[in-house]
Amino acid sequence: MTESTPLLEVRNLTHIYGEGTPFRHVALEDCSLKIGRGELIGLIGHTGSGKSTLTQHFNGLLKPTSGEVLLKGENIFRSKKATLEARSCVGLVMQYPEYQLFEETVRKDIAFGPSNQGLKGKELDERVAMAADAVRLPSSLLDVSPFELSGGEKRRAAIAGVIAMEPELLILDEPTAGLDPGGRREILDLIADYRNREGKSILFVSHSMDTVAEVCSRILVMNKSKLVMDGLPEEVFIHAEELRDMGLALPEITEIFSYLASRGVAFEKPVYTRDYAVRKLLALFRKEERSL
Amino acid sequence: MNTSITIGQYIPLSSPIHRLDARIKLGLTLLYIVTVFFAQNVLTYAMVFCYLALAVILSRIRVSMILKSLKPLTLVLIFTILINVFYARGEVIWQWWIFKIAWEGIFIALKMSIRIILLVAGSSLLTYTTSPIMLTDAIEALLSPLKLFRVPVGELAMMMSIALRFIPTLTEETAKIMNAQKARGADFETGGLIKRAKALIPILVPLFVSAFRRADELAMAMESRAYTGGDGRTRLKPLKARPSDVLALIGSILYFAACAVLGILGF
Ligand SMILES: Nc1ncnc2c1ncn2[C@@H]1O[C@H](COP(=O)(O)OP(=O)(O)OP(=O)(O)O)[C@@H](O)[C@H]1O
Ligand SMILES: [Mg+2]
Repeated sequence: MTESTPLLEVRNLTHIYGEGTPFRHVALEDCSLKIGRGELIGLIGHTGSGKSTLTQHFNGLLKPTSGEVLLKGENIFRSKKATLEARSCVGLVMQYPEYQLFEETVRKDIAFGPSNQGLKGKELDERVAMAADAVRLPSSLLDVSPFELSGGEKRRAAIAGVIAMEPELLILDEPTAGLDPGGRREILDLIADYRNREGKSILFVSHSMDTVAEVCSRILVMNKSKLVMDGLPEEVFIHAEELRDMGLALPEITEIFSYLASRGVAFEKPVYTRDYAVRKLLALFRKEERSL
Repeated sequence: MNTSITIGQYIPLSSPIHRLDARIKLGLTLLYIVTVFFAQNVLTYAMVFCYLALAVILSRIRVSMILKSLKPLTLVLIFTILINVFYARGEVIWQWWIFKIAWEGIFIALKMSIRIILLVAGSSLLTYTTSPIMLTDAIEALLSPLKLFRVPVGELAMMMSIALRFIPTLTEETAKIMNAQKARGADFETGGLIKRAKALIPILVPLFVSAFRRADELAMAMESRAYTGGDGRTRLKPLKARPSDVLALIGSILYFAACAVLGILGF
């Protein structure tokens, strides 16, 4: 494997649900992309654009109708064993993952993934502790039934269940859906932390630009079963009109700054993170004070 | 919503058979089944077959779909034929070791298989042309005399429609849960019986939890919309028999009666 082999590569992926039935539906059309090591990528698109369908190909849950999925340069469908390996290398946290909890205790539930990987004893305990720590689940909660947790805690326990498998690529499908702002913030923070600490690749699926813009360094946009944009946030946010046509709003911060720009305050690039916005505003105010 | 899962096999088309009042359609299907049992000879079988053929043509359901509904029967048919052919009665025409074949056996085998095919084809025409909801309404209507004996027909029908309504939902949910557990390395495909049975736990527990949660939510939603039981509820789409429906009913009854009489008289 050479330095340039991406961790995951998808070539001309097409997926058709219900082929040969009256319910035939093209959910993915000719999608190609590469994911490198350590990247934190946001995948965004309106409801039904095919995001979940795309991500379910990455660990072999869905088989492409045509096209291929390469993990470290090798097709994940070349053998049954390869597909199973892909499942453990690419961790997929599905939409509403709390509905997958089933064990008597949170600890056992988090251990389900790693023990399927063949881990036992002390090693297994360490993995569970690591994962619980990564999602900031206090150890007092590890020995209660997962069904006694609050909604946000359940969500984090379920995410821990996948993190415990130590995947090289972690995919989170709408991890903040249905949470209050506090819960959302918490999930976003722990994703960013996890990435910074472990240096793993993360793909973050969402239909909120605000969420994606805040944490991701690269953004993929899906529209009507196609991958239509792929680039740095500022490259993507330049296409404000097109994004609006796809039913996607720009991040609120970007909207405000583009309004400012239309009133004659120039910025050299789109503004989309809080930190950058604050710095820009402070600079503006200082200039104003000086000119008084 | 995943639309590829359809419950029953309703094929929404626009045809006289689709429009036929569901109660009448259900009643006629029952009569048809009885008539099939009365059929004894070539003539009566031909008559029943013509009736079915006419209904299929009117319904605009493709013949291939009707044949498809017969596919699961293959094994049953093979057994029926084998048992009847070798259970020889009358004049033996071929014999080997303990196996004997007689003409009568062959006739009975043929008769039985045709009967089964007619029965299944007829009832699948009913499910192809009637939506599950209409079907429950029809069943409720036909069972309503039982109300006299304090059978809660309305509630039973409500239970049936809820069950029908939730089959696709739960199927979809099962698929999702299975995928989620597969993503965590669960393996449902290899291993012995015990291992496979154990592998079901991660699916069944979340499925039950979600079924109960849904039941709870649905009960709450129904109560908050003032559901207090089946009695006195009116319908969104009341079943209404049109003159043409009644005509079809009377015509079919006479036809079936003729078949039965011919069958009994043994022409
Ligand atoms: N199992 C399935 N069978 C048939 N069609 C499906 C199935 N799963 C998804 N679809 C259809 O494929 C399309 C894409 O679905 P997908 O779940 O990938 O969208 P999404 O971008 O994840 O949407 P959301 O934001 O709502 O999660 C939708 O139109 C959906 O109805
Ligand atoms: Mg989705």
